Amino acid sequence: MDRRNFLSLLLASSLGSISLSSRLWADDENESSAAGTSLTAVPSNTGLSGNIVVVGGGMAGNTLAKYLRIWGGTGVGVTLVEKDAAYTSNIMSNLVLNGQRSLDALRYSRSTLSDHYGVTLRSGTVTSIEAASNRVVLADGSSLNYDRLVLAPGLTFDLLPGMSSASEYDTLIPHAWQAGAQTQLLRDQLLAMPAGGTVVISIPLVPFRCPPGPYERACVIADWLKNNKPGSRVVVLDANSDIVVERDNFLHAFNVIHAGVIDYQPGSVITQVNSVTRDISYTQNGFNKQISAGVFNPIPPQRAPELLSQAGLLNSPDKRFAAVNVLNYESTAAVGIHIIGDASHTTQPKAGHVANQEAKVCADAILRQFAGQQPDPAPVTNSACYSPITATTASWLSGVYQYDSASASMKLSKLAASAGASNRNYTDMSTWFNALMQDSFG
Amino acid sequence: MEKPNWLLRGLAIFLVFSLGACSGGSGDGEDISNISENTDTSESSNENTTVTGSTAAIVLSGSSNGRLLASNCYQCHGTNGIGGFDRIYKSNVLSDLREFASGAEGSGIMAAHAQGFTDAQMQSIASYLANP
Repeated sequence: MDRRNFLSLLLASSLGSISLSSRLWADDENESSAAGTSLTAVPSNTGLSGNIVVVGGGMAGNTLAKYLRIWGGTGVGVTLVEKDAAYTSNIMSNLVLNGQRSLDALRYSRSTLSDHYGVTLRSGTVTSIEAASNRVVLADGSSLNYDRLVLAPGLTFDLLPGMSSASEYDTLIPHAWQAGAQTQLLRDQLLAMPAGGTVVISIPLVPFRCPPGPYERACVIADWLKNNKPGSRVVVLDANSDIVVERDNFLHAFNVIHAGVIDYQPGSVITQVNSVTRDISYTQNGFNKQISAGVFNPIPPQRAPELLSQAGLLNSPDKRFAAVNVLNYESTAAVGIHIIGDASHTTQPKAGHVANQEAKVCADAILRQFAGQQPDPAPVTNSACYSPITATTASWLSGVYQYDSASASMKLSKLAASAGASNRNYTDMSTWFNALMQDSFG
Repeated sequence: MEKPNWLLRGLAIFLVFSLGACSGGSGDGEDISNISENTDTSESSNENTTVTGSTAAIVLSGSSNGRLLASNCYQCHGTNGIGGFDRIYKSNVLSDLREFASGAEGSGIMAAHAQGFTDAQMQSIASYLANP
């Protein structure tokens, strides 16, 4: 195991005190800081060559670009098109809501991607995909040709009934499901809410980005309200008939840890919202109900961006996402175009950690194709997620997926969750997050 | 909740440590032969250049056997197994993986991960990580 931790354990015991280790398996030094981590060289001897355009520089897109280079080598040209100057992490953004983290600290630059890994960064937006010509066209009129195209564009958010413009999410009722200004707005609204107020969080039907996320957010906000806005409560209007992941952990959090603060209402479908008054109408089990929120945080239904719809790629059963071959993430509707991350339709959850692995499978498959080989016939992917339950405790969720050829899908070989929330898990959460972001952006 | 028996483990390791036994791995140094192999000239007409700015850049051997499987570890252990939970770069992790998979190490998140892989996959991962 880890010699470093055993050494510190020995030293601690020789000094007559042994800290009951919440850190026995965690890394005491922040090895994941950029300064202490050696970057991987891009090899120049792989013999591979090809040209890939990547659309979207989030968890999936950035990881894909990096791994195409470190595994593919200098002959593999990668151009990444992205509209935002930096990436703001959704993961851990719930801790902006209770003041534990700042949005600034959640921003990740792509300079390592360009300066070290030699990926060409194009600032801009793709407005159309001309598959027949193997090129994409950008908003400025320029175009980029490709041998393979990988789309990692993330999600867009539907309006709720009663809304007339998506700008209402930016100014009145933030969803904050894409970390950034809305996260700050939600935080500011919580700070300004009088004690004794009602925070309403709505959860859409599956599939949505980050299955534990909404439940985790309810916990983090409830915990903060107890300490800062006594008498306040969090009403969770979940369109799903039950908690969709970590049921035991979140039920315990709702009913015991945050008892009296969280009111969880499953099977609740929103029928009308007024984003100015924050009056919300919904049905639950056939009954019409109404609630007025002090702060309203709707998590809207999600879908892949319009660009993919125009390109005929959104062929999931509900037409919201892009179905793919999970051996290489190639669209089942178009040859030569791959879709990874939240915009894809697979049996895997929509989450950054697993999107990072989808990117690696996709990169490997594209490089094999350049070498005239078939994709790996038995890819394995994994998902892991730590969720803060209070300001000092967290739970975790983990899944490993194996390729099942009979169904041509990724099937869970192991699904597990922590037995409750703990301080140690909270500490490990930081280690996990830093490692994940280093692997994706470092 | 996982409660590793750190006292007994610490004692066992103390004995191993004091006996001078190496707890595995082929050493921490870089393989010089790999570095010299990778400084060839390439006729690639590609205009992307590489700046290996860091003097300690990790040079991969180019083997792809087990490489994709092992990449499942990097979200928690850092790229190539450096920078995160326990360092696994150039480490012999097979017996650890098997212990986690067997349930002997409790039911923490690492056990949950190991239990999702077959033994053959663990061998492949361990073989790759020992010589990436």
